[in-house]
Amino acid sequence: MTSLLSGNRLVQDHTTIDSLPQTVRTGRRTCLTGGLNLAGVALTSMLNQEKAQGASTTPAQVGQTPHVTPRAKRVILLMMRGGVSHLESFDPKPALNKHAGKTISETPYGEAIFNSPYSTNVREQLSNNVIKTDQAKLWPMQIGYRRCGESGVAVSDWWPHVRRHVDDIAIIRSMWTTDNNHGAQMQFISGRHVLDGCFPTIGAWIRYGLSSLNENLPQFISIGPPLHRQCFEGIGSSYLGPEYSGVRLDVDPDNPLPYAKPELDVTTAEQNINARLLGRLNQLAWEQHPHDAALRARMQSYELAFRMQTSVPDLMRLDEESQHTQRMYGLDREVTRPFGEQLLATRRLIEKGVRFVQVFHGDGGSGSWDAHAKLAKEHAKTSEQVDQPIAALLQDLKQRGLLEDTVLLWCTEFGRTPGVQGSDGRDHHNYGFSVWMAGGGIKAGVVHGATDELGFHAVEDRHYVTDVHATLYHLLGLDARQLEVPGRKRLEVDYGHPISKIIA
Amino acid sequence: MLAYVRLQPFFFHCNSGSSVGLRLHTLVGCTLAGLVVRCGTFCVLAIGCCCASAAESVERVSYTEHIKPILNHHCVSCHGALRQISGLRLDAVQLLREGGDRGPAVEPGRSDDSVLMEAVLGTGDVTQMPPEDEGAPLTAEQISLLKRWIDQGAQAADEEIPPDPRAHWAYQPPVAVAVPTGSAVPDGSNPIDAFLASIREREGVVAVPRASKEVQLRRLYFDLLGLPPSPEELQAFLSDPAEDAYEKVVDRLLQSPRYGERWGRHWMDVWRYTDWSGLDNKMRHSQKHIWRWRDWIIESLNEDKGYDRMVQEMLAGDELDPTSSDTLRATGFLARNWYLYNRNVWLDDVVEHTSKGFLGITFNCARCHEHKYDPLSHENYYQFRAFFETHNVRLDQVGTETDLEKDGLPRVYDADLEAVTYLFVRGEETRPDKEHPHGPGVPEVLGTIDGMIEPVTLPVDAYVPGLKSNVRQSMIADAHTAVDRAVQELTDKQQELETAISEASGASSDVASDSSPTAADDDVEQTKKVTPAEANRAVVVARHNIAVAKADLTALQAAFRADAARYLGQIESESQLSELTAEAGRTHHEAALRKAERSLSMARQRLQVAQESASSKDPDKAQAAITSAGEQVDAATKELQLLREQTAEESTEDVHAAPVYPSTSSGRRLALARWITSDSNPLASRVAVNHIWNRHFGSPLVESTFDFGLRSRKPIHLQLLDWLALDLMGHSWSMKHLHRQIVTSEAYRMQSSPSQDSEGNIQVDPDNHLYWRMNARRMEAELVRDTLIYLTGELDLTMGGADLPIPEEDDGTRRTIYYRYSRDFHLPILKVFNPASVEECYERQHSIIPQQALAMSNSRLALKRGRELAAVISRDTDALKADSADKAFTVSAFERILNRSPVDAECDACEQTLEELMTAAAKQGMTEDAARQRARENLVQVLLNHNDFITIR
Repeated sequence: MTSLLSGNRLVQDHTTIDSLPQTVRTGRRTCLTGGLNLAGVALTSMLNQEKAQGASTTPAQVGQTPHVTPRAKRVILLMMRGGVSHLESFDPKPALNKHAGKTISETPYGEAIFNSPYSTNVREQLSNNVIKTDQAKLWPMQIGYRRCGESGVAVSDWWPHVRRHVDDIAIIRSMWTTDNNHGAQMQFISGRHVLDGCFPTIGAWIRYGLSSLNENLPQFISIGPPLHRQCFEGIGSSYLGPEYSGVRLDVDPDNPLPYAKPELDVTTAEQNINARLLGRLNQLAWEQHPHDAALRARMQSYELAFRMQTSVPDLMRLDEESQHTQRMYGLDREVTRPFGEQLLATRRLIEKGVRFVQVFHGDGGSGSWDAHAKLAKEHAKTSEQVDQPIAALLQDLKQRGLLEDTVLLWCTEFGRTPGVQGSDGRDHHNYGFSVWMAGGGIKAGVVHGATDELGFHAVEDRHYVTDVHATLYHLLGLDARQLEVPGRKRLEVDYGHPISKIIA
Repeated sequence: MLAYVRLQPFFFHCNSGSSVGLRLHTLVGCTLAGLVVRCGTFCVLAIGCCCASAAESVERVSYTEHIKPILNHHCVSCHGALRQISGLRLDAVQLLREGGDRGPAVEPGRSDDSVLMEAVLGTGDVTQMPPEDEGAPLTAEQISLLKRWIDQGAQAADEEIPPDPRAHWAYQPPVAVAVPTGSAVPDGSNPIDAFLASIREREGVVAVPRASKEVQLRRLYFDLLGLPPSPEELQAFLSDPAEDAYEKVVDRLLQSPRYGERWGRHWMDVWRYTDWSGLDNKMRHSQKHIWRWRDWIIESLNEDKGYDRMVQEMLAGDELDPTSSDTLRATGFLARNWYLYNRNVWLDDVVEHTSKGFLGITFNCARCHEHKYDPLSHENYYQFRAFFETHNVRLDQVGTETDLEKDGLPRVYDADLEAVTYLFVRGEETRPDKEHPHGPGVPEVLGTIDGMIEPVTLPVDAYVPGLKSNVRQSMIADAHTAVDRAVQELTDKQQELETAISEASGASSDVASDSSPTAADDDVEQTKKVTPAEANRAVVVARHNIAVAKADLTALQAAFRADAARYLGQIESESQLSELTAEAGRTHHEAALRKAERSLSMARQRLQVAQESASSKDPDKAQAAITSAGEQVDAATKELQLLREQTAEESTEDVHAAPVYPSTSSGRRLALARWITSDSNPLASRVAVNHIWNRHFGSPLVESTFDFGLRSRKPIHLQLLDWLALDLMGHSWSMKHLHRQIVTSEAYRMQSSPSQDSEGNIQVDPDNHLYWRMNARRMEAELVRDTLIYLTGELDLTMGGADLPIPEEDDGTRRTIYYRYSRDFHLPILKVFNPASVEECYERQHSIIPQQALAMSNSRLALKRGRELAAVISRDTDALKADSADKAFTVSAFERILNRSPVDAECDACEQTLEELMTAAAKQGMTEDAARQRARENLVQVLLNHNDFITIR
């Protein structure tokens, strides 16, 4: 009868577990099969953290996994919520000016655009808010472009600061996605259309796949306005479990994260005394239950929580930074200060060992980039809010040598239509749009992919959003396929392909 | 007609949901950009990992280490025990050598001549394997391994040939076995203990002793009620000398209404309860008022309705008990799957979760192709879907509330008896196999449903719900109210007209006062004032409104009379029926005319306004407004004209006071429900027992609670599972019986920590598969919140009712189960304690993360309730003298929060800390009394963060 038990031990699939030293795979299996209950999870998780603290498992070691060599340790994801017009930022289209006022069919490109095989790349979330593409009149670019740097890449005049760093970044002009509404924000970070349900976000996957860089800090942090009612605000880890979900931080040393400090008055002295008593009482319980791994895990989770309570607010004390740095991020100007503070905090987090920071910009339900009307005014305003801070972040990371192993991704959920909406706006456009990446093994000063003459379809080196995920995985030395959770089928499209042409 | 119009949008959703969705789904959901076939998200995958670098470095390729995983992952689902395409099996090495129709799969030493290599390379005349769409092609490394293994002689010892999948344990009916006896099993043992003891004895594992009475009681309370025992209840139990003191508590708790709430939440996890979600007020998922299903769950559990009956009511309450609105609530189980965009996604969810939840089979894996592991064919999937093809969701009126946004009963019914089910080739909904429609059926391996399906003739109340007196009376009352309101409106508008006329005539004399200091205010006022012309237009509209409301009322009454005649036979002669029908048609037509007249009148008014207010400032805009208003007049004129030309008779057919549904139901779902819950079904009772067992013990008897298929290992305690399954069925599927059986077992009453002499157990069975100790568990999210509020005596135990909105600052006091719970809304505190995913939660996860520590230490909820609790305890203990009051407080706090007394070391630590805290508080300038209370609040806070508060030992 021993076979009964030994059979059960086979639950643990050593081939998968051993091949990925930094994941918490045993914990996941346990959780899913329910056989071992929480004790197993906690213990494994703790063991992994301990391992990570030791020299045996450092991020560099991930690179020793078979397929990929790591180029980066950290990721910063900046998402402009609402949909930045690619036509007025990183993808100039002179033909728009030339054919302004015509419908697409009245240009020489009509047939190619409407008969394109890519036209089906849409899955309507709402059917009533998209302009009639074939009737809308083409609208000229609302801002000029200028070339800059040795690469001579043209960037619009709404982005003068980022433009000065054009030699540091790789622009991808050939993104596409399938959601024609702002669910595309969630789609960009999870790879799945919001109507498919909630899936782990890229931050959660990376948190799941890699060990902690700093035991005192959450490893997946989200800053800025949360995704409006979309799958746990865009920090969800779905079936990976809540320990891998993001922690939302506000750039407020007084109250940076949920429950970070007492919501009713409790003094620090009291907290310290309480923590000591709690430690003592749990220690007494531990003596009673020396085999209770969950108890031990809980004691450690309290210790980490206690450390986070101090370490996280400290990182939000931006006044510790020099005047020069503060000015560089635009903290001295009303218009740039909010996002500047968020990006300065981001740099401090990254520097102290946070693995993944995502920063959302653009308040409101759909995001303030959603320029259905008054695009020129609105985009000028929103661009100004972020342009200088983003350039400062690039500059700062570079100066501190952090850009070498930090990947910066600038993105938005989709672009905007070449045709006008109303008299002065552009509608959602998911057939082609632009994002850019920098640092951490990304080629500098390159433009990759292209949309057609009118900026309608991505036509050259097309990339669905998971190609960006795959690129991040690749740079971090992770093989997404080996992160698969048993019992949770991922689709081929979930994995994407690394954008090799922009990898240095 | 009123009700008919009112319901229209709802039906529009249902119908358009499927047709529009079809197109959308085709575009991307099913084949994302034409690249990928959508498949269920929860198919169990083979876990094959082949590390290339390891492979390259291997000199000698091993069959078991390198080759078998490749074959298992990529080949065996079509060439194995389940299916033998081309007569080939690759699930045992001797079968590889034996080969199939094309001869041996491998020629040892000659990879170039081996069919297997031709297949994976796609050379020779063999189609490349795996076929496109069936799986990823092999990697170069994998191919290299196969080649080298063959070239090295394809060596491996013969192995056991996997048996016929149909012989899988879960597909055989539960077997009645005698309860074990023997030296390990004391007389009078609970059968659960008898089964466990005999296995433990065989394995050399010794059970630990019973837990302390305190721990037993706490465990029992949380387990059955989701709330802790009060100090008095604990005391009563500790001091009850009766031998059956424990059993008495069990009986009492099972009678508590809290039981239904506690276990209701468990079943809501399994049955995927969710309140509706959508954008703004537009529903995308589930149904409004689905809480009625939640209340049905709680009530059914409390009255110990049989599990079989519950399943039947959930799947087919409308066919089982068509006029009982109590029973109809149960069909929320199906209504919850309603999905705005796509009927196929909707039915996929129904198939997936009906089969996982009740049968423990992963039907979703057979949506696109044959199931890879289980004997479930692609056709079986669509046969199972056919049970649900005919059904749809509707809202019935409840009580007198006619606005279904405000209240209603979401329920299912058979809407389209002609609906046909087609298999989707490769799961793609654009490729229905119309040559071969499928009728309802169950997988052969699980039996048959032949002869069980009988159409159900529905009583008239079920298919013409408008004829129920509550609906009829409230609709007519609403129509009367509409008339009264319109009459009142006319009076008001006439009054306004008079005022406007008198003000207009006196306006010139007021001009002089324009320079007064209040002129600005007057300006504001002025803009609100209506001109006589405007007021006159409003009067005209009001007259039309009266005409419309009166005509609606008349038409509604006539329609009700006609419906009553038609469906209730309330007539004296056939001619009377035709008279009433004609009258209904005529009055309906009249009402339509009144509405058309009103539309025309209003359109003319708009045109007039546009013409009069046309300014020269923006002539283009003004002209556009005139044109648009003119078009509206033309359209309204045309519509009125059409109506006038139409005779009343032409429209009689469709006139009903309220919607009329099919008078027959297919009986498919009822047959399915009866088949699922029949004694001969091998899965249903086992799956139910496993769910219940898991929630009592913290680990299930069958590890994968939603998949009893071939990927699940034969459970160690299969005999026990079968005994319990048969016992459940033998006791009319009474869940309370099963609970009692379980919680009165010694296995349940054991301590959760190893005892001193169980070191050996830890070596042999560290994961407690043999239940030699209890599993300590963490409170679920709901328990954390409920208990925090309950401890202060503030928990409002009101039951049932509409889902409560999420309160600011979580200061609500109802039990958590009654608050809104959907993809977008839930109480924030739940988030850190692994709440149920509304998509799927066959068991909860129990993580331990720092955010939980922060929530327990810092949340307003925990702090506020902790302080209130300290006040309550102080009030109860301060009668004692001051020198022992702190001690009494400490003891009472332990008893309430941890449900046990403190040991000396704990008392010492607490007393010492209280002093420290008082000193700290005094330093803040507090009075002695305030400082004392503050210290105590902190002590309570610490105990709420104690591991043994959130842990159920």
